Amino acid sequence: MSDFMKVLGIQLRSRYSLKALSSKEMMKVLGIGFIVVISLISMISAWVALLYGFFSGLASMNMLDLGLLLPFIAGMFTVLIFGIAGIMGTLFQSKDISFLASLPLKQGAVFASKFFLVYLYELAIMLGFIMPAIVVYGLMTGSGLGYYVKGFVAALFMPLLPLIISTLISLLLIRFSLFSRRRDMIAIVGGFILVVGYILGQQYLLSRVSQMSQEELMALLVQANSIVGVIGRALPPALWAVYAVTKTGAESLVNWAFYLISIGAAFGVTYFISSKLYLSGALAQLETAKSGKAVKLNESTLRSGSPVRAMAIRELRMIARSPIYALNALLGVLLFPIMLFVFPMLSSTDSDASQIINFIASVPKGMIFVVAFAIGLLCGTMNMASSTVLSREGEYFWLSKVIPVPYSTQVYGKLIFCWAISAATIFLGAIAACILFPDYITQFIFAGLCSLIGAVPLTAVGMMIDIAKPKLKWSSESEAMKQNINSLLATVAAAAIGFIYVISSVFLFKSLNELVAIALIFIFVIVTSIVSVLLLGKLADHKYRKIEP
Amino acid sequence: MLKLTNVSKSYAGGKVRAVDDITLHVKRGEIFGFIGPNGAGKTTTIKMICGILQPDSGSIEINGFDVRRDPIQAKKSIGYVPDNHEVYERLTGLEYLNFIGDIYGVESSVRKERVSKYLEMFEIADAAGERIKSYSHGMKQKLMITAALLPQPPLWILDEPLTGLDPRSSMLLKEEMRKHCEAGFTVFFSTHILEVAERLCDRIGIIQNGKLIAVGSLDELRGQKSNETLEKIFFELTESEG
Repeated sequence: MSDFMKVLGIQLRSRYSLKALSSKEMMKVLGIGFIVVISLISMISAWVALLYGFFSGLASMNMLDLGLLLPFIAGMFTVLIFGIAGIMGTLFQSKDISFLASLPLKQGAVFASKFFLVYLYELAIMLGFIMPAIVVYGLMTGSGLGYYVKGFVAALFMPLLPLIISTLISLLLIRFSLFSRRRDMIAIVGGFILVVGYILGQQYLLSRVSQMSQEELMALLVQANSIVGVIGRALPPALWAVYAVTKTGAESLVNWAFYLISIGAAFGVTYFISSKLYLSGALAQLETAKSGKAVKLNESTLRSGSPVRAMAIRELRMIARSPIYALNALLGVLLFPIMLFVFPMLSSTDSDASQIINFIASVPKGMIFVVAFAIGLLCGTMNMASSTVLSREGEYFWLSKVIPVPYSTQVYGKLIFCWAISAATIFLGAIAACILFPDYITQFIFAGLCSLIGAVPLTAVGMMIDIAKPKLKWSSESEAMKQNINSLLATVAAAAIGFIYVISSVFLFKSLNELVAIALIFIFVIVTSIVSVLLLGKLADHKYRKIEP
Repeated sequence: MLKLTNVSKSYAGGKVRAVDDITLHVKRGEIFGFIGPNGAGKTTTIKMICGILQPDSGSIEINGFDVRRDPIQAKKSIGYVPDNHEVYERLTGLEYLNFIGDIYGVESSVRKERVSKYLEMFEIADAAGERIKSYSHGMKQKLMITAALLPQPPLWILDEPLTGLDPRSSMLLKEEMRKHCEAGFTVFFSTHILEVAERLCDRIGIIQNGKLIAVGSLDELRGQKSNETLEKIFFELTESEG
């Protein structure tokens, strides 16, 4: 067996083997698996419904290939950006690096096996994203079996190239960080810059299409799928993948060649670099350079506070100092307001912005509240800090059981921190919206307030899911957060609660006058928030006791 | 101070009996050594005392508080040093001590005095502002001991506290344990170093295969054989029971 297979095998067995489970534990795994499948089916169904509408619109304009290209581009960009956290966590900050480095293994084999592990994880997510688009396209074009086989193969290779680029960027960040004492900070800042760069780049690409004159755009649209080429130029491998699948004969073969050769060549270069540099960079991440500065022990450095405050501050420090946690949990706080601000600025200033303003003006004011409320709640559903609140403690969990603080009090401290992440996003987003659309400040303020309170149950439900079944055994922080099924379950649960809020709001606005509707929504979110906090405390008191690390 | 009554704990659905019907009473003001071979059930017993694990049966009382019924008061009475040194590595030593101070409600002025005392005693004051990730095994152990001593709880529970400590720190910790007991408090610790148990402990408990096979002072354990070392007694007892 090759070194690659040996290392991969042991890592897969340590993470996913079911052999050591008792029948009771196996039943629990099956139960969770069932819930996960149901959650996935509901998410994929919603995605398919969206795709059908999208493809139907494109079919009338003879631009079906665009329907396939955009998911490929979005998928590749998503893997590129969020894969960096997976790559950093699994390749560079995993606890088993020093052990693997001590074994007589080639570093290229260790690198490749860890890379493949991240690839498998990203693939599982991306298949759920890309395959529905491939199937919908196939159904709309009446394609045969060969098309589906080609589509599946293209989807299998899809996460590779962005992951390779993420790896190269990570290698660069890691090498760069070796010169600094604050390695984690460099990784966090580097990751943030990359994501913001991605948003700007993507927006620039879209603005190129929207900046075309009406005549140019029409000329482009008249030619079948020619807009696909314009957008595809931003990420040629996505275009090659789409043409490899949708075209036939020599044209398909040429695109397959481009697609696979680009992946193979990129992997070859990365493998070559990693076989020389990987372990030195990864091992250096395990070291922490000392500042050499002695800290003064006085009233200010030893200030006392309440246990709840202590729990919240500890959570903040643990997340803000870990590249994996910071990139996954705090990114949204910056991302959402940036998106709100940057989009209109980079767009052709008069056309896009005025279109948005015209759209908003055409919507009844009450519905502005509902839309803003829905967007605010959306910020609360994507909070990975809450859905991994206990899992992140991992081997440190013993301390939570030993300290003389009621479990409910401990989770309230954590709740404050997790809610603060959603609240910061909502708050900054509301400010951005008020500045961009000053005519609707009242609606945005009320919607912002309701979202802030509504974020409490959304945060609480994510925490409850993690407390019910935390993933305390992990070898890298990436496993605790990114590869944690609780994040998926929490997103579905929070989306369901958010959906109930929004539907109730629509109903109230249609039945009652605006002020009464807002007042009732306000009462509704406050009551559900109180209930969720009480339930969270009860669950913590009940479950913490039973968890035995 | 510490009372265990018919405490049992099993793993793997009852197939592995880690702790088997232990009854033990540790008195106020004594240093109690808990010794036994690897896998005998020492850490499991300690984890049950601290509330990390739940006993399947029996009761545990600390300072008059039942661990199951009154866990917060019971936990307030103990300072625990685990054997694994798993502690928030992304915090600095001082941040960790402040966290423990906040959790146990240690006033700022008292905190300053105790933190300074123990950090200097264990010679890690210069590293207090560094991330724990940069600490050596021994430094982490010293930090954990400092954190456990910070609230000055009446019962110290130390799981293999001398592992990883340099000779000087080891001596200082032993002195501190003795001083704690002289002040009327109690120390319960596990160790593999029989010489330490022999010299330091007022009473010793020997555990094997989850059962407490002997408890008493060194003289009581010796019985008629007044010259026997603890090592010899330990091997005689564990081999005859095994």
